[in-house]
Amino acid sequence: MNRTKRFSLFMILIMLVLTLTSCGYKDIDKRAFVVTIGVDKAENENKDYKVMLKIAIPPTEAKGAKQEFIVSEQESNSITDAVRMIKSKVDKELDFSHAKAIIYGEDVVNEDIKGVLDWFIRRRDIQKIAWVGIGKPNAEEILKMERKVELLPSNSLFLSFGKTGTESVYIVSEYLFDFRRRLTERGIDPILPVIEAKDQFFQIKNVAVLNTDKLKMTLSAEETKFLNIMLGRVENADIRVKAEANDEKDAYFLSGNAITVKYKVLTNQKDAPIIKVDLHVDGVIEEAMKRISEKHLEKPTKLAEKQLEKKVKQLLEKLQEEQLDPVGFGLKYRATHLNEKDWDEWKEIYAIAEFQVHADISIEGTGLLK
Amino acid sequence: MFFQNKAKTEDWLMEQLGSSSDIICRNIKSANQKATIIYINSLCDEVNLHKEVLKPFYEASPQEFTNYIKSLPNAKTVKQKEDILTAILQGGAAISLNGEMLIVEFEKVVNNNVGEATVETVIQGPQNALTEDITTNLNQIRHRYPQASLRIKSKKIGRQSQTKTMILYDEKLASPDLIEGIEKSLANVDIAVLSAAGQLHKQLTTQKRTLFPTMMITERPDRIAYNLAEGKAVIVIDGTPFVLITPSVFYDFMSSMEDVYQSFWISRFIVLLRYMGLAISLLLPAFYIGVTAYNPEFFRVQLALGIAGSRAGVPYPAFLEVLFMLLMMELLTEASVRLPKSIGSTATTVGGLILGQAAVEAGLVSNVMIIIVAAVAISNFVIPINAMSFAMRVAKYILLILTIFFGMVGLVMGVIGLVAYLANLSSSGQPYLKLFFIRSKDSK
Repeated sequence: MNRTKRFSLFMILIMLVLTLTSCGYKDIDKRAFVVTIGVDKAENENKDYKVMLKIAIPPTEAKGAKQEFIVSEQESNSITDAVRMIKSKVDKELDFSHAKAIIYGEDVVNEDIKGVLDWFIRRRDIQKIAWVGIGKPNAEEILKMERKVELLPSNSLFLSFGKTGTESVYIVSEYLFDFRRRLTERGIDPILPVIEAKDQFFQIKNVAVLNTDKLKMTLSAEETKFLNIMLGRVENADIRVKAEANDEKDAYFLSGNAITVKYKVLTNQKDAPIIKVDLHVDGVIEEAMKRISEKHLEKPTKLAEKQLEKKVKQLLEKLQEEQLDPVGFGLKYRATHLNEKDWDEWKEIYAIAEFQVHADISIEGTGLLK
Repeated sequence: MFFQNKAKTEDWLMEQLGSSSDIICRNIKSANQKATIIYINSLCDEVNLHKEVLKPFYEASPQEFTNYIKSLPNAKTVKQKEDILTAILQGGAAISLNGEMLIVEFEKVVNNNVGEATVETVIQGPQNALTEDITTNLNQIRHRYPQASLRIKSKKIGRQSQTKTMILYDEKLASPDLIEGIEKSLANVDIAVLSAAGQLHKQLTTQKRTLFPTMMITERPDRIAYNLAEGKAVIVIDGTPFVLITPSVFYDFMSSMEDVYQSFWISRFIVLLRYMGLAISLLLPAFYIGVTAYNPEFFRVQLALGIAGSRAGVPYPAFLEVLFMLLMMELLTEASVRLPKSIGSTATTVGGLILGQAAVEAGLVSNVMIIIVAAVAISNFVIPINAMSFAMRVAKYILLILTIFFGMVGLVMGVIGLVAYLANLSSSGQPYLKLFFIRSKDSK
């Protein structure tokens, strides 16, 4: 008797527990996988945003299937509302777990970024390792682009970032979590890669630097490369060396590998604050316009060091002028100076700080056999 | 009075045995003595009986013959008539001589051919298995373990079968508590007919319903010798080529004799492979459900879309698909065990190839599902001891059901629960999840 009673009690408990699992189970074929999310400025003047979701259509045949997707869009004042409305348009449950890229239209970033970032940070199903970028001329162009090289929708976008596929020095990859960190942290400014739509493909070669709420400047490809080096995100980069400092002609190209960057903020009460940057490059000559002898490498090395120092300094001063600090000198200062007013101090220091860039290049070879 | 008693015993014996054609009761008489022999000719080795009992009977004097019979190694004097009956039933010949009952054992064994190991095979190692005859088995074990300290304790188990059961252990290595414990639990066994090792194992466990084996069942003499040298006890049962080894912990069930014979890194690799197989067969179906239906972010986007695509035409939810395919696989495994060996391959071909292919084409299951079920089936066979592989076959359903209802959390909780349950088990006083069997220091 007691036994059956206990057993039935156990069964009742199990059945009660079963009622707790309301909405978890959803078969994978009943989910609509969103691969990229785009946010543009609304065309309707009464609305703020146009939210676009690129939904992948799973291939039913494993072999030789072509990519298929739909881009569902909705204009609204909030992303939440837009997504709710899109949900009512698609037949399956939206699944953001594979939304690995978030593209903001240029217009959105030019105005205010914080408003369109909040939703992505709060939603737990948006992966915080999603790549963030700016779509040029707008996000829609990037989302609707059907690249021939892709087998899966948006795959080429995923491959472009994070050195998964291509390892370009012009691509600055930015994770969602890092973007938010840069946005909220004092002493380091957010950056976003600019994804430029061409006819059949897109190109990522520029980086946009933002302050705490909107886009401030877009760097050129060359500057992007140096910023990438300064951020320590690339180890291999080519350095263009001109014959003379003011000469238009190129002397040679150095293929640098194992590039390391160190920087220090020196604040001596007497002198003006100095930001010291040390670059170290090991490299081989990749392409020479004139014959360079293996025995006489000192002169080309000096030439390269000087030009590299100058270019980096120019970039840093350009950023300083706009009070932008994507490298994070301020954060470094704040981390090493325990002080309640460190931020105010830093703002004063950065305005007048002088950059001392020192490059140390060693050319390991000419790339040729004797 | 003696005579009366004797006559009574013989009559009682004949009465008990009844009139079967193979029961022989013969009065023999020589010039100066007479005797009665009772035996069952289907159990008794008659050639030896003639040579060792009948011939000397006519050649020796009464006193000499009595002494001769008593000095035979296989002879014993038995007082109780019930014991005499048992002895006769086990191939002994009862000789009543001058009012004394003597039992001479002439057991005839038919099934003592040593065959190859079929259940636990190794590639390069001893190939023979135990036989169904206990004496032959003891012979094999003694050969592989020639130690003076090897002790054999005999006991009869089974109310009706009276099966000879022996406990083998190395006195120097096995702890006395272990042997005492086994003897005690063997004494408590109450069963009518004992004919298999697994049956005895069930009787020896304290819990009524168990899933995991706590005693190793093996047919390999080399494994027995190996375990005897580790201070374990072996229970040999007459009539079955399988013995029980205790204590056996989880690690023992995952090891094959091959591990001992191969070189270090190879054996480590095989063991690792086996644990991976265990993980796959136990977790893969549950994991598939958990990931596809609850957490598709776990996959890469390519795989997620691939699975979603292959499931597009499947009408039922993934958990029904998994259960259906697992059921088919279990049926297939079970059918190929029960089928005669000659038809067995047909069943696997029809079931495995044709059914799998057709199920995919009919859109009942997805391609990925077939891969998973096949992986589960194959990796299950990697577990070397059959009893453990059966236990894992059952355990995966528990994890699967937990995952269906509670997602990945259910899977994690299920695994934790399973580990907790295993940790709670013990085999003859040894913790079940003990990784290394270390000989107890205090044993002699």
